[in-house]
This record gives sequence, C-alpha cells and structure tokens, in this order.
Amino acid sequence: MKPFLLRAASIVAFAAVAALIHGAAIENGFRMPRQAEDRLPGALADRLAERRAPQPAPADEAAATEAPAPDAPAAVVQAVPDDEDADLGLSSADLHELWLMDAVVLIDSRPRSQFVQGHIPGAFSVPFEDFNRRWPEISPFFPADPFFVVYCDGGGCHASENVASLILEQGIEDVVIYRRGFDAWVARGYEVEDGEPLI
Amino acid sequence: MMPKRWESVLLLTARFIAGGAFIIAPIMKLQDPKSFMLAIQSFELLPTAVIPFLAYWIPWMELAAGVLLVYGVVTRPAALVAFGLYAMFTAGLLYVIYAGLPVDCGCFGGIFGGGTVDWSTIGRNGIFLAASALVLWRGPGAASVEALFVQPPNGDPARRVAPDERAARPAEAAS
Repeated sequence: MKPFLLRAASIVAFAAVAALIHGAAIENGFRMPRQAEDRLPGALADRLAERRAPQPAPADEAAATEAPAPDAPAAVVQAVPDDEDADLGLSSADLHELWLMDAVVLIDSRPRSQFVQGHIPGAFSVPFEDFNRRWPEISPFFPADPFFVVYCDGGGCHASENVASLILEQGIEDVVIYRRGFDAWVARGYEVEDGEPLI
Repeated sequence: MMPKRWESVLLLTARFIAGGAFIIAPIMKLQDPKSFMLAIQSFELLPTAVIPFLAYWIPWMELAAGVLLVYGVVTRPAALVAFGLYAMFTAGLLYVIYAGLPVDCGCFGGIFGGGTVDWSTIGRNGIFLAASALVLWRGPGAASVEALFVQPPNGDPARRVAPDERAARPAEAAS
C-alpha cells in the first residue's frame, strides 16, 4: 500500500480507537437513546376518560329547577370523533382536550422560525439542534410533575422523536410524541398563536 | 517548480476552510453523542446497530483530519479523509432532499442552531468538498508545518515537498 494511503488509513484507525475509548468511558455510551411513546400512559388516559365520561343525571327535582352549571364538564367534554389514523397514537382531539385541561407541557421541536410563525399556545420552543441550550432555560418554568407532549410539523418529521428521546435521556419518563403534528392541529381549527417564545 | 505566492495563499485558505470546519463541527458532537446518534438516525440511511459507533467515530475522524489540515501535517492523507467525509455527507444530504425527508441537518452538531436540509446546505458542503479536493491535489503549500520541516529532494530550498509526495518519487529523491 502506498505510504499516502497508509497514512490516511492511520488517521481513520486512530479515530476508531479514540471512538471506542470515548464510548466506553460514557455510561451506556453505545446505546441508542430510547424512543418515546406516542400513546398516552394509563394515568393520563384515565384522567381524560374521566373528564369525558357522561355526567350522572341530576335528580329530577334539581333537573326541573336548575340549569347545568356553566363550568360543568359535560359542556366541554364531548368526545370529539377522531377520524385520523389511529396508528399515529395520540389524537388531535385528545391533545386538544389535555391542552384545555392544562394537563400537559407542550414542546415545539420545530425550528424557531416556524415557531414564530405559529404554534400551539403555551408551547415551549425547543428545536432539536438547540436542545442542550434551551432545556436548562425553560426547565425552571415547568409545573410540578410535568407531562410532556412533543410535536413538530407532522408528516414524518423526526424532530419530535429526537427531542422526546433527549427528554427521556434527562431521566424524565412522562413524554409522549404527538405524531400528527402542528399541521393536523391547524387543520382541525384548534387555537394557534404566533410570535417569539416568551421564555 | 516553486508554487506561486497566490497558490500558497490559496492552499492555506483551502486548508483553513476544510480543516477549520472539521475542528468546529465535532465540538458539540463529541460533547453530546446521543444527539448526534439521533441526527444520523433521522437520515434513515443506516442500520441502527452501527449508528452509536459512528456517532463517536465520525467526529473523531473530523477532528483528526481538521487539526492535521490546519497545521499542514500529513496534509494530503488528511485531505483524503476530509474529502471522503465531505463526499459522504453531501451524498447523505442529497438523498434527504431527493427523498423529501424533513430532517435537521445535524451539521456542526447544531452549534450554529438548527436548520432543515436544503440546497444551501449542499452548496456549503460543496465549498468544503472543493477545498479538501484542492489540498488533496496540490498538497499543503509553503505555509505549512510540513513545508518547514521536510527537506526538498532536489536541493532547492524553496521547493517544499510533502513526505508522501517524496516517497512517491523515489527516483527523483535518489538523484
């Protein structure tokens, strides 16, 4: 082999040895980050079902004399028929319901420029490639025991999967991917706001 | 024949472009290999089993080739490694555009922020590819560590020849 090619091969071999040492020095260094689920865990699904459950019929007398309280769950909680593909996991209707309940922390994993153009109200902007800078910035503003829902555009974008995996790497287990994405949210006419992230 | 001054400047610039990018690019990748694993996976080109090792191997190759290019040591072999890596990255980016995959580039480990792959990404890679190809073809130039320490084979002190180039011309070296 020509010395020229031998030297090039040596550079590649040096990098391979350095990679092996580097990976071995990190705990689980050669393990792929886990993928987050795209379905609601039992506790949150139960909470949603409870909210959607038909309310018990009021006593006859009360029914005759009292109008339903304006904040009665039944008024809000009509199960929305979801004609979207069930294989995509968390439905837009379920997410909308959870958003109304303020039960989840929404993470927008799209590039910041897209977030500024429009996003689900209350979502935090955490683009995948900016995760390590953004996560410490927004973490103090999470509620106690947060449940994260991560979304991107939908239509096969990987940013939500990647950001969800990085959240799992932080030791947080309550993460779900909203695979239908922001496009499906908009298509269903749900609330949208624009502008720079507040945090 | 002595390289002209403009050629030396051109080669120095090419080395700093191709090598400098490879010094900056692996910083975040080596600090956060898990993110780089996910970025590679997004391209949907490689089996998952090899991705964790590649997530360490590629940045170390970049760093080694980058440092050698910038200093001008073992320059042409380093340029070959850099050219191979840039060609591989460009092919991957072209595939992403062809397949219409909405993935983040993963370039520079996100050190300059995120961005989906588009033709400007290809154009930027084309510059790096051309710079490494130029160094691979013409060698390090006069403004390099290699040129300072390697004696010319023909006695002309201005004629700086890379060791691998000298090895490739044993007849000339013997004369």
